[in-house]
Amino acid sequence: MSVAAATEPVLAVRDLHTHFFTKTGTVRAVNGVSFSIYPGEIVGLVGESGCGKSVTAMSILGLVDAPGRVVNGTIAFDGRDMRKMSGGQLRRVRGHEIAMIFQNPIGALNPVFSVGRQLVEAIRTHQRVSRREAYRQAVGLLERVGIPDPEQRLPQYPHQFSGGMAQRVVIAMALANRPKLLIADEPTTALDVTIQAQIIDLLAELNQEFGMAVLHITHNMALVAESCARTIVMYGGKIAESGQTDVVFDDPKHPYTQALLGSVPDLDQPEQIIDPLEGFPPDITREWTGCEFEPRCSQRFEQCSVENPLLREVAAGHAVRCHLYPAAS
Amino acid sequence: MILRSGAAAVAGGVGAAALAACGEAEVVEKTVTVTVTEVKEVVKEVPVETVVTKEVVKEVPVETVVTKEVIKEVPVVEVREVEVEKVVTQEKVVEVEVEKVVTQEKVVEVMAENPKADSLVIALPVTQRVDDLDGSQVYEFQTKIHAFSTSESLLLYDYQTQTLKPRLAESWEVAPDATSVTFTLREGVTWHNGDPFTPEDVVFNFNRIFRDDDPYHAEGTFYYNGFAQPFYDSTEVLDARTVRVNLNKPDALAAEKFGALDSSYMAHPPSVMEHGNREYSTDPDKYVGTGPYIPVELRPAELVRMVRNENWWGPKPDFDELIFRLFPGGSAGADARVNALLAGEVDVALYTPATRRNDLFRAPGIGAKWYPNFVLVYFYINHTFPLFQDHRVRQAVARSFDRVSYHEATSGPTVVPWGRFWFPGSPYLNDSAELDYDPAQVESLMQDAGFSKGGDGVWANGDMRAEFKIQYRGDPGSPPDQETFWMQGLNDLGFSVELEAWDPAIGADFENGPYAQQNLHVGGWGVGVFLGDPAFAYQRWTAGDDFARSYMDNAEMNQLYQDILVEADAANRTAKVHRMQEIAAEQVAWIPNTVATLGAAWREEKVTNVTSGATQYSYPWLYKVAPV
Amino acid sequence: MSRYIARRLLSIIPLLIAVSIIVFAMSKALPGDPVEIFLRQADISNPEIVAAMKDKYGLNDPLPNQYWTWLTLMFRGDMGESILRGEPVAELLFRGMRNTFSVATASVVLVVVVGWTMGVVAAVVHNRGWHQAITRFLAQAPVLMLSIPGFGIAVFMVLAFGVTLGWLPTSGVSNPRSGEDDILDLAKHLILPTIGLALASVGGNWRLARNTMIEILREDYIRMAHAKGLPLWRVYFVHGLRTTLVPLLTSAGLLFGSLLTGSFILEYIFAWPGIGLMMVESTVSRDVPVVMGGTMLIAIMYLFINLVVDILYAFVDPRVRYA
Repeated sequence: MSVAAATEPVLAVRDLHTHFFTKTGTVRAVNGVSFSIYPGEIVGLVGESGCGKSVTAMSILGLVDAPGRVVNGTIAFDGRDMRKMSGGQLRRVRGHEIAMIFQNPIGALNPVFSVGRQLVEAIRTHQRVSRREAYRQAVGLLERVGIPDPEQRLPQYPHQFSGGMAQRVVIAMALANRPKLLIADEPTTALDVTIQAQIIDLLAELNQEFGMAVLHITHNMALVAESCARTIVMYGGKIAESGQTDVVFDDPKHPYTQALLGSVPDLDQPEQIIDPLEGFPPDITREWTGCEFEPRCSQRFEQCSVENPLLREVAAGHAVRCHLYPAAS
Repeated sequence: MILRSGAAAVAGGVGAAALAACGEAEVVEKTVTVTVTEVKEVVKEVPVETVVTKEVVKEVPVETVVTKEVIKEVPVVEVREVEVEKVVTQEKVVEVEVEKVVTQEKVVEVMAENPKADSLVIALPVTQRVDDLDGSQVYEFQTKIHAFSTSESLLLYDYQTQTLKPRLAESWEVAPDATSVTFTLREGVTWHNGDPFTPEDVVFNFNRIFRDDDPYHAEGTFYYNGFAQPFYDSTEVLDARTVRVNLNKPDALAAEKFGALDSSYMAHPPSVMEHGNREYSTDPDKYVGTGPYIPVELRPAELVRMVRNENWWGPKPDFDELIFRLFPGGSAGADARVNALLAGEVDVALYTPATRRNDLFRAPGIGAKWYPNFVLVYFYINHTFPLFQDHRVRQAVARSFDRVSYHEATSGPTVVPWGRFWFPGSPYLNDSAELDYDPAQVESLMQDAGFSKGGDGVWANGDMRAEFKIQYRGDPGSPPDQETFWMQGLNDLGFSVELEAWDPAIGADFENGPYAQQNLHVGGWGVGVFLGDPAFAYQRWTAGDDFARSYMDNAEMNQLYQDILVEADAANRTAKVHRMQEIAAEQVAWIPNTVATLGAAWREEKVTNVTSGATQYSYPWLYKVAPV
Repeated sequence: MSRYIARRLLSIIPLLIAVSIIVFAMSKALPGDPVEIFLRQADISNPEIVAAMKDKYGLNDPLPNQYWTWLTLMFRGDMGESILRGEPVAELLFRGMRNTFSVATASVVLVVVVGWTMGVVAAVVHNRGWHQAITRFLAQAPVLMLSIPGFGIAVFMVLAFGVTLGWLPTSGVSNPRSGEDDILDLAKHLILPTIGLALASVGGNWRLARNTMIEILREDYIRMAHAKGLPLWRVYFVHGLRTTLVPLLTSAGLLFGSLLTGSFILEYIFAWPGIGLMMVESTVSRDVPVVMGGTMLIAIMYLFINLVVDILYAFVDPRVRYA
């Protein structure tokens, strides 16, 4: 999988800051995040809710709602800076080169339009094809994502679909224009466990088949372990740790990562006591002088409350933001 | 010549009396007889087109566009009217004139003679059936003005002098035993379609109006003809100009009832027979009357439009066209009528509310007046209530109400405070029969009745204290100002008076409501008068009448009332009526309060005076064009 | 869909029967005898006339007979004759309803054109994070409209634009000098009453449209629409507005229904010969045939409008159709 590292990244995010300017203060939802995704690679972006992972995704697409705004950083997609693009240019990228799927598939489909109409719309927004051709493609797409009787299903409305089926529709819509990058924001969270696996398998298959990169955003470490080549762990709007999935899972460095992994029930060892992380996510309306994780950290020491640590590489491709790991030689 | 003077008498009589009633004597002497002759000459000399051209000169060309629209609608009437065809030719002239406006200076001078005589828009309230052109079918109590311009009765009751005037009949005579009335018809009267008006037409109409079994019985007259119907027997033609109505029991007021009752209007027999009452009365195309204006358009609840009848028997009406713009009746629409007048949308507003008097008085170019209306407003006083069994106590209570001060302070010129028993200006009025405010007399009346003031300042005679209630219908929390004012006056003069509120919904319940004998002390009521018929109002002073809520029982009064019903001689009847008023004042048949008023306002550039506002009903053909 | 419509149509029948019974009972419960009240206004007390009139209007028959007679006649379009006006009730009501209908329609159009548009604009402006002053103005203006009583504005407008400035007619449905079918003239007469009648509803719908649309613009399918790269107008006016329409349609439908019952106050101020004025006058003077016919007509119209709204609702929102 490290083959991908040799080529140019499809997406390179550098020092991304996305803040929300609310009446009660500035919420620094994303506060200096840098990462890259290479063609054909599946990257997992994990963390608790509120850690900034979804905002990161929305920032990439330029879809942060007011009062939020990307205040700093570059988002280079395929060598082009997304932040410098006009609205029109952005819209040509969205849904075409970068597609996105959401946590709640039923909610992501407009309830008042038929599934077919929404699929056709996705196709015709970016391809100059006739309605009939688009419809034909839509049938093919539904077939591909494993929906039986696609011709019958197309005129139906979202509320007539189960959650799993709806997510397949959403995926079909995302695939419609063969994107280079698929951002999947908690694609299985709202689904039954059995369905979850099917969707993950589907995503993996499609990744293989179309060679598209996937940024898989989730709070579920198990899913990351199962499907992602690389893992990025976020905490308090910053990256806590990143690296190859097997490395991060086998040898988690950051106390937060360790705590996260500790809180995943291991099916092989049902007797193991789960050690949930205590405390609450950090208050990100203020600028932290020390480490954001320090109040909850079991391994904290003096420096942690004084100095905000930097993300340092502890091994090739494995970076950690923690004072426990001073700069590697 | 006789015809003309008759008509002039109507016009002059009504107009002059209207002014006199309001204390403005200056204009009273205006003679109309002369005007009539002049008007006739004008008709012959002034070609139709000059009138129109004048409009063009004076007003903005945009106006002429409006005139064109009118013309396009008129051809509907062309089958019937020669005049209509003349109107059509007018239009061609208008179009030519617009282009030549500046050069035609001579024409302008000719036209200056009669400046705004083109059309008059009258704002009229309608609460009830609005789409009637036939006076005999009109349902409206007060505002059937448009129908009175298209149809006519044999006689006209002049509310100002409270006397009868000739109309389609030029004279009348009630038999000495009051069992019949003979009408002599005016010569040369024609229907709008040119048919002559004949005695046979009168027979047809009286049977139609007063006989339930008549195939053309007019339903709309249900309650108006109720006043005359019980007396009606038959109508016969005596000769080519005379008809006689035979009664089945004597009625001294037969001439008023059959000649001038609001249902006794003449409809064109062939048209009624062809179209039926309803269509005849509601479709201008099917309507044929005798009146001074000919209806051309009727939009229910919106407007009635009519044009001058050039062949009318009377003086030439001043306006080419009358438009009645219909407003909701009652208080709804009253403000709207005033607004429309102030905005110049209408030229005359009738039934203007007292609340807008200041707006109207202040507005430049607007004339406004409140004319006495023939409704007496009064309070009942229950003669059988123990305290009120002595007529001196009743008089004392009646003389405690300072109506002049009260109405001057509150209503100003829109109300006529009135302490007498008949209307101002009437020959029936006995001016010495009054119950005016007089505190000194209250004192002596109470003493005469054996009362003296106790320690608390309240009159008492043994166990009987001068204690009672003034009753009103309405909300207990907000008593009417007038009753409150009177109560305070009474309390100041040594009475112990309280107000008592009654639910308006049960007000009309005469068995258990506020007017029931066991409940009534003193309470307000009012009476309208039809045809100035004294009997109708005086019925209230007799024992046993449904509306006689004072529960007065005076043998002489009862007898006098029976007598005036059959007293055909006018002088004798007047004498008896005067006597009745004396009894009413002595016995306090009721406590007079005011004569109600009706407001009218007009644009002075258009009309000089709205004389007709002074009558209960209005006759717009009597409106005078403003002098230049 | 046709089955849905048929079902809704059938569901109206028992409602209509219930309404007819209530209307009939109500007319009998009104205090005061209509004939006597009517005749007293005319100062007539002759018991023979009272009896004859009662007989004429069938008021001496047993109640179930009266009800049945009334119901069968009404379904043949014969609602009797007005006691007060002597006119066929059907004609009276048609005339009143026609005038009420024109101003109600104009009001709903105003609500839709101004209220909805401004609401949607306000939501979009809010969503796109425009300057605070604009956003706040667009949020507060409807509250202001809602808080000003319509009749106050109406009286002011009549005096200002009618009497003082003379720009617009002060009252009535037509200028007597204009032709009968002059639409332009009617439009001129409609302006002030419509504003007076609809101002609060414009505010209400503006606020409703804004709030609904803001909610909807937070929905995932709007993000999805953006993420699909749809042009903004498609996101807002196809995906956003279409779902916003569901509550708005209900609101406008109910508004239309209630406007069709006539607004007494506005009709009073503008001397507008509509059904509201007619019903109040008829009720006060106990003109029972008009009260009964009018109440039935209003109920039928209301039910019918509701039906139309339900059907539109089903058109706009497929979830209703398949429920």
